[in-house]
Amino acid sequence: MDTKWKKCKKIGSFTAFVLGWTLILVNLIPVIAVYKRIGGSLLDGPACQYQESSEFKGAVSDRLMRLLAVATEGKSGQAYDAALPEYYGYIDAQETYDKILNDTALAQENMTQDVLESVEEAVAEGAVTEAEYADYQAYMEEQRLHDNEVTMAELGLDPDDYYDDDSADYYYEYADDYADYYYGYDFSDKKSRDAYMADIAPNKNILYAVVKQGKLLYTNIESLAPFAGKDNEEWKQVDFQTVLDPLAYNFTLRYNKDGDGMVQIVQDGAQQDVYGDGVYRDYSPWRVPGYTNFTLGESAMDVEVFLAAASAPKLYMVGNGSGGVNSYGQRFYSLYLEAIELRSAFVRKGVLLLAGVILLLLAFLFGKDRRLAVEQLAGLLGKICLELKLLLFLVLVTLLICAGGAFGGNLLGQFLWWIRNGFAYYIWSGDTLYEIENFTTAGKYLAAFFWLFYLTVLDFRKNRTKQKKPLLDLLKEKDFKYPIQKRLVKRDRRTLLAELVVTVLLAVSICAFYLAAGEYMNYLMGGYAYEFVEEYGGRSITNVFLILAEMTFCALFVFTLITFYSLKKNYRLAVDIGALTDQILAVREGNMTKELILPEDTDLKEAADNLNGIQKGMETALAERMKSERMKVDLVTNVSHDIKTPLTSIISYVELLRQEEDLPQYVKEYIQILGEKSERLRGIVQDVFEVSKATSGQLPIQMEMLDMGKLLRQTLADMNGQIEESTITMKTTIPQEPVSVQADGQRLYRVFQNLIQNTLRYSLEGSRVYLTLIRQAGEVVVRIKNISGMELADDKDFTERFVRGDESRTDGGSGLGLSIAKSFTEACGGKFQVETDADLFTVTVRFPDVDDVLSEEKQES
Amino acid sequence: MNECVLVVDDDREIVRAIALLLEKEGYRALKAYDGMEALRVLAENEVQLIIMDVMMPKLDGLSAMMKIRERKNLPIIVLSAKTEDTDKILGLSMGADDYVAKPFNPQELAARVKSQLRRYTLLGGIHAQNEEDEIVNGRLCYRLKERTLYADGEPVRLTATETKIMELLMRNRGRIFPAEEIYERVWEEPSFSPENTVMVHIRHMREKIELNPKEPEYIKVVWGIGYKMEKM
Repeated sequence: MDTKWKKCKKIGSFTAFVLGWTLILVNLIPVIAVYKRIGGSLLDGPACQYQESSEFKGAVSDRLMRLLAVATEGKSGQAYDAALPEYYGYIDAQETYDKILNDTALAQENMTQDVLESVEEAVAEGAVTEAEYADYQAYMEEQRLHDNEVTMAELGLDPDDYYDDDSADYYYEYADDYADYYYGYDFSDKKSRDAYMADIAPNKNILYAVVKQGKLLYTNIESLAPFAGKDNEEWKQVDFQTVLDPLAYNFTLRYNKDGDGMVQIVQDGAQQDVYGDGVYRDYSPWRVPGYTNFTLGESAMDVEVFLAAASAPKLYMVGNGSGGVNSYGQRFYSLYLEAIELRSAFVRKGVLLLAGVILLLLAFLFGKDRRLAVEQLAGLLGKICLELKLLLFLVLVTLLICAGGAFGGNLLGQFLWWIRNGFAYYIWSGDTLYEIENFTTAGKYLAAFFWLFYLTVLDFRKNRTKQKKPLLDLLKEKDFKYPIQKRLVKRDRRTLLAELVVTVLLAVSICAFYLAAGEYMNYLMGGYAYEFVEEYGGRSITNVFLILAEMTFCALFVFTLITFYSLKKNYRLAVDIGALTDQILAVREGNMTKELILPEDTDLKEAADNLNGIQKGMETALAERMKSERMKVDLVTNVSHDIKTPLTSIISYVELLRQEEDLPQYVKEYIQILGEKSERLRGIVQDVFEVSKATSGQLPIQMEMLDMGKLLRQTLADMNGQIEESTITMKTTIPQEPVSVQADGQRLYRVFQNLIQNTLRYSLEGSRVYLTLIRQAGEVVVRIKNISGMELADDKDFTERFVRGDESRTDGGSGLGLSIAKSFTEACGGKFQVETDADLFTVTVRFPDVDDVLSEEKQES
Repeated sequence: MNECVLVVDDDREIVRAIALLLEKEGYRALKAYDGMEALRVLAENEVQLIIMDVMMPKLDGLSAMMKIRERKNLPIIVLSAKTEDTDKILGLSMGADDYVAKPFNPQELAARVKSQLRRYTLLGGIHAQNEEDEIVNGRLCYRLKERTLYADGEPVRLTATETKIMELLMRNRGRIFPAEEIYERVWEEPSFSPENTVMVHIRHMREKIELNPKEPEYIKVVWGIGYKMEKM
């Protein structure tokens, strides 16, 4: 039960962790973008939200500008011109447009004149009939009309007769909105003014009243319609503020109410700050006159304008009399709809985001369980081999980036754009929901990236040292088969290749970017890129990217060049390292004479010299060691010789004494002791001499093939007397068939003689000694086990000279038994090993199995 | 028994001890303390055997021996503190009849002196007459008809089995016999673990014929292979 609960907690906290992060990542961008879009007044009604947008402010400003132009019969244009140089260009465009139009007309007239002359000539000559000439003139007139629509308005013609259906629909569908964007009006012309006013009147989302010199010129407020064009007492009583329902029209703008040329805005009954610090800038929200640097001249001083915006805009549909429908008020209606949609989307996404945060908090509350789950996940990841993981990672990243292509191939750039700007204006399409879903999709990609990198980092952090990488290991193993210089050169080549690939890829992508840059920017700028870049190209973010990419490419190119040259140098280094490695191997194998000479200017010259120094030092040390070994043997030889001479005298005189018959019994006993001890001394001297020779490698060895089993049996038979005299029982296991070894029989006999003597001397009384001979894993193994009579010290090396199991014992051997056995065994090419386990004393002598070697050789041949 | 032995060593105490030991055995002993002195004593006296140390002042043992060998054919026993086989071989090849390493067992030395003298005096020098029905090997002589072994001309008491083994070994001097073969040829029955049995007999034989049974010269164990009679 308890473990089940724990498991539940573990799974639950991990799920909360994953779900929490995913929800946050998916919904964060939409929430931020929507917030950016709808601004601070999240909790106000939708009306206020749509009125917060810069789009709304722009539309109101536009409308005011047009109405002012109408009221002043175009004269306000110069003031706008001065305040809004070129950029907005609405008024300026009028002049430019006219100029172009005139030029074209003039050119056309000239051309027509030429043609007319030639035609008249042709008529005069009788080549063209009068009827043909009339047709031609009609065609020319039509052509002239078709070429520019402005003249249509001038001429009071119905454009419907001249435009194809599509452009007509476009023109009429958003009639009033189009009117605000349309440059073609000539407000100095009464007809044009009326056309404009007719276009905007049906849009009741924005109500207006234009007053000039106290006379109501234009209005689309129904209750004021009767006063239009009049200047009576009743009209003077009208208060714009009370004419309209303040709930239906919560936004009012008044221009020149107090005769100061300023604009006053009242929203929801509150006066709004229009001018800020009073200076007009490009990004000032209200593009209206009244700033210190933006005032209208005398022309507008007798004009008063009232504007009111609906709190809940509607779409006004009016039949156009030719079977179609003209819709008015689309601009505010779209903004309003968008605000509603944004608000609901904000709530929807916000709830999900909040849920994500709560889940994440929960996950962190159960952090311990979550970490357990993460560990388990890391364990699972560790089981997958590295190559597969790398492949998966690359494939997934590529897929995600390709999928991100839906965002212009630049997911990150798109993110940044959105976060900075909210999203683009789509007032004509009203695709708000589509946009929000786009954000959500982007959020999903972000989440996918996040989890991919989370897993990667997790794997890297937890499994760094225990990655399974069979393929890479295989490559590595293969790599290690090459000598070091080849390995180094190969690695360098790989680096260079990778760099070249990156450079080429970057170059190709920069070229592609250049080619696609126009389209790309056009996309980013929502179709305005070409104009935008023309004027602001130098400041364009895209251009900065381009310059950065170019610089990166250049840097990489230079880097590749530098790498190439340094790798060229490294090639030389690799060769030297190889030589150095070979030299180290040579030194290790004992070649002390070959010196490594590298050229003066190479990097490893010093290292090579140092190695030569070490080599020389070792050579000297080795020579000195050999010398001192020789001296040691010489010393032992001399010492033993010097001992032997007096010993000879001692033994001889003891013998003489022994032959004396008249001595008392106790003196004879003394002599007996003297005899025994001098004999023992003789043995010790001999042993010391032999051990020192054997350990210094100067013991003459006559290797021959012999039967180890037979040797052991002979030794046991030779020592049978001693064995029988002792209380020890010998248990031997020696195979009957020959067990051949290559050794010096005499020396080997001494080895086992010493070992058996040892067991006889030091075993526990009445205990058994086990002597076994086996062939095992290519070796001939002789093992002698006995139980020590004395307690064995753990940390004693029994093969050291003069070491005994028991320090206090003075009788018996020289203390050289094991030492002789060991040095003789090794001199014969065998291995000698002593092990103690409590009182169990085990000696193991190993020799290579000659039969095994022979049979192997046979097999090989 | 008035054989005269010349003892030469630069260590006066050793010379004295050896001389005393030899005199106890009934020999006459002459002393010399270096090679030159030895040559002089030799020139002045009738000497049957020389015991001579190798390392001596003025004239060392080996050089002195070479000079002696120019004129005389008497047995020489070399004494040396060097125990290495090469020294021994060098000494024997330069004309020594026997080689005794220091520190020696006095009784062994006495036995060797006795052995050398018997061979020298009784058999008339090193090269004894080689008759057809006897096998001579160094100081050993096996007479086939008598089935008796003589050591230094004296019969050795061997048991029947020992005699059989001795005959086998003497007939095949220098050849190595595995224990199994010796057993099968002497006991004439299949062997099973004959090592102990053979070794016991060999040990007994050694005690009877070797001057120093612990360092046998004639019947040798070839470790890990078998046994052989060294060909002298």
